Amino acid sequence: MQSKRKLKAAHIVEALQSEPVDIHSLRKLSISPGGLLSRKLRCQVWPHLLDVTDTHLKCPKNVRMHPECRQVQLDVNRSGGRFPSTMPKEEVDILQEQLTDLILSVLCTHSELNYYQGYHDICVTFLLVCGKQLSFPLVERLSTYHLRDFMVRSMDSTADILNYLIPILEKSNPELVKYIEKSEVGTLFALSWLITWYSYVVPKQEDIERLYDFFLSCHPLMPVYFAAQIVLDNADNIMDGECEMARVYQVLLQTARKTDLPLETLISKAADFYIQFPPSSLSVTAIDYYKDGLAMSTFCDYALVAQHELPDAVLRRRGLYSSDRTESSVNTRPSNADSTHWSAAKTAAVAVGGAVGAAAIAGAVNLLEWAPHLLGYL
Amino acid sequence: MNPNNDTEPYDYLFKIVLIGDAGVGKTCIVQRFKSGVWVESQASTIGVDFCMKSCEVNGKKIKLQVWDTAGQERFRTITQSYYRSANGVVCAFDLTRQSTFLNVEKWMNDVSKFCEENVSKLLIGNKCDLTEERAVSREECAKVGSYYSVVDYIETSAKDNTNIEASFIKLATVLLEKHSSSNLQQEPNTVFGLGSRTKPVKSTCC
Ligand SMILES: Nc1nc2c(ncn2[C@@H]2O[C@H](COP(=O)(O)OP(=O)(O)OP(=O)(O)O)[C@@H](O)[C@H]2O)c(=O)[nH]1
Ligand SMILES: [Mg+2]
Repeated sequence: MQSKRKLKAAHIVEALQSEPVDIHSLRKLSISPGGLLSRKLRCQVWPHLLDVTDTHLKCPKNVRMHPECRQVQLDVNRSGGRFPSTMPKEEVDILQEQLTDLILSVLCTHSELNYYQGYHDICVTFLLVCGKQLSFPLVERLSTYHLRDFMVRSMDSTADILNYLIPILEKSNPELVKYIEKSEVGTLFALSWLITWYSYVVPKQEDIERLYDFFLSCHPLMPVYFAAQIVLDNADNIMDGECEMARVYQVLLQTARKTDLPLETLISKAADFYIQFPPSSLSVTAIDYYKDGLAMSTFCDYALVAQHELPDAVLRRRGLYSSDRTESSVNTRPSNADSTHWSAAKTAAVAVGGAVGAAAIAGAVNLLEWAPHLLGYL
Repeated sequence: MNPNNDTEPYDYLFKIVLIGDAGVGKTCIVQRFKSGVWVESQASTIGVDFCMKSCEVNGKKIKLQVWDTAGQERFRTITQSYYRSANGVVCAFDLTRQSTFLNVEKWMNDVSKFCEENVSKLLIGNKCDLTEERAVSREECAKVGSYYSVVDYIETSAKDNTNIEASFIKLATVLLEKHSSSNLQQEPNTVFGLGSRTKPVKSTCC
């Protein structure tokens, strides 16, 4: 086990040191079991995943004059539970001050972004992993891409994104979807999962960080694919009892809070699902969503500009996504450790849809050329 | 899990939605009511949290479903969908922050827009332990309360455990009176749904 870790760490360092940085390998390694392994490596790799080159972005001045300052402080003051219980109070105080400045710096830099309760939870993760200096450019980038839809004035687009959950669940467990619909529970139970990238619910900080490796390497909708896997994993529990809104809501709320969340399995399944059922394959609502000019479509635009086509469109043209074939593969394909590794490669390939920056996209063509071999077993 | 939950028999089930500005202490109030504890660094609520608590009123076992909503303005459109089937609403503000009191108007407008007409409302002024920092007078608060025809205005402290249980019991009592007089006949246990217009549930067991 230890030697496997060492080997993986060596691969990560190798990818970092190559000229230019081997972003595809970094994405793959971030997705595959264990993710980026340590905070030290995360600090080095996350900037690449976000395509941040200027790590010394200057913070704006007088950030505490921002109109949201009061709300931010309200939330920061209550973030104590996110810091290690062993951390001395003085240190927590310092970090909380930095947290307030970090959040307000992003808000001051981007007047179009609206703060939401839960945003601070994401910022805590960055602060703990990367420190205040590096966190600013990273969070700034993350906010204008992955989180952008959550930060528009209205929460309607966030609710729309949550609705992707149902068609994803449908692909794998239509019976569960019927049950959930009958209970009228809706999808809002997953709101806090999505907009905090699970830092509000997943109890262990190291798990949260590992998840961020994954999400940072993928399309902004990946957290929804991940939510679907949590729900699917608990299907028996959900359907065991009265089909009644409050009960189902309570069970669903608890599913992500389990201390024994099978994280790696869920990650690899979410990645598999993304490959088999990319967002554009999901539903009419999904298609409508692409037109909205929000973050999801921006991501696609990036890919489109670079290669005139969405990666999943390429794959579909090659007959890899024809729905009848994929449907059967869901049921039959085992999800063993081997396939996890290969899925990581594929997801990184398709993750170009969510990739920021020309470097990543230019190289993606190669990956796509290469991906069909991997997809052979589909 | 908690013995209070799920399986325990009850006579009535009421759904209560807790609303009010961010930071007024809604989650602390629920925690205090539910588990009797005071959690100093209670995290902000994201979306809507949920808990169950049983209590006894006039010899009847009452089960309360408490929906604890996030107070930030931008969550409003989302939390409103939880109002529809509520039997009772607790609207809380912070006695030390006038802005949270002034916003009671907004919350009450939401209630009249999205709740059933006959919903029972309770107004709570929280953090009454901070007497030095008090920013609104009791008379003012009571006046606003009666303007919105609340069943009562109560001052609470989740920190000192002042009037927390009493508030929920008060609301439960009113709900019980209302529904036991209107439901002369035993109603079967109806399914409770977020989207459905629901009657308070009367259990068939015991
Ligand atoms: N002194 C005092 N402080 C309180 C009391 N109740 C809550 N607080 C403090 O007020 C702050 C906010 O409490 P929460 O319960 O998180 O507030 P909330 O209304 O749930 O806020 P949102 O979840 O953001 O909508 C916390 O830091 C508590 O410590 C009280 O009765 N007295
Ligand atoms: Mg709360």
